Amino acid sequence: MKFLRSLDFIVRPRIALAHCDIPCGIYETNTLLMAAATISRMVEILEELPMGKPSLKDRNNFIRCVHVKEKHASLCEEQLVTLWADFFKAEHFEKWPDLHDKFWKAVNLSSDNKLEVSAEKAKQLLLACQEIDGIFKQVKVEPKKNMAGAISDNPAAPQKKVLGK
Amino acid sequence: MRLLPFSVFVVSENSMLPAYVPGDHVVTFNWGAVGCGDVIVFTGLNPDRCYVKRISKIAGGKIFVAGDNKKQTAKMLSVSFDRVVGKVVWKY
Repeated sequence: MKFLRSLDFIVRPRIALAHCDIPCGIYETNTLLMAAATISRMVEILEELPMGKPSLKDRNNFIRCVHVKEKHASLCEEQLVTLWADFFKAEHFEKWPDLHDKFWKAVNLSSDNKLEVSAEKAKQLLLACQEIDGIFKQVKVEPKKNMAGAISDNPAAPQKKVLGK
Repeated sequence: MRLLPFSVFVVSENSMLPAYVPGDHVVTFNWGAVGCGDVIVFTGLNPDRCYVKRISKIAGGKIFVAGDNKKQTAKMLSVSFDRVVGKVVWKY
């Protein structure tokens, strides 16, 4: 078997994630909204950069902004998928029949914002994330006192001591 | 339909314990049908990411998968047939 594994350099295996998906019950939308807002801001900055005869500094800024936009679009997508698959349950999709569609559109907008530098697409993504956040806030359970900052949908989630307090 | 009949993957993380441990290499057969109880590799919303889980049930044109490690996997995910890469047929 070790011999076969040593052939990895010839036939490079891809990673298959056996993801743990521990249901810790802690979910939030701040990261999602921050990522969507960051994409909007990056698009604003990119549109302000000079295109004709850019200086070295302009080119550096352009690359950095594209990198940050890409990173936050991926983060947005990841946060959306986590909320979609892990947080919202069947009863929520029954109560909000267009919720699947909202998520599908938001995930596609995340991809669009990687492909394009578009203020319109960035704005649509931010609005889509804000809509989902609105529904999330109607569903979430208030956090327990000693888990300040965490939002849990599981009232039976164990109470944990916050380190250092 | 997948172009190649076989693909090779390395298992990462723990939700398929004890059948598959992190680091196990698996070979999938990509041209056959899949059924309940089969371990499959499928892509996520991001097609660059692959996942390995066992089929719990097939209903309504969707495959429902879950991990074997019930201590760490609490729910089933639904996967459409077009996201299935293949069925795991060999481990080494």
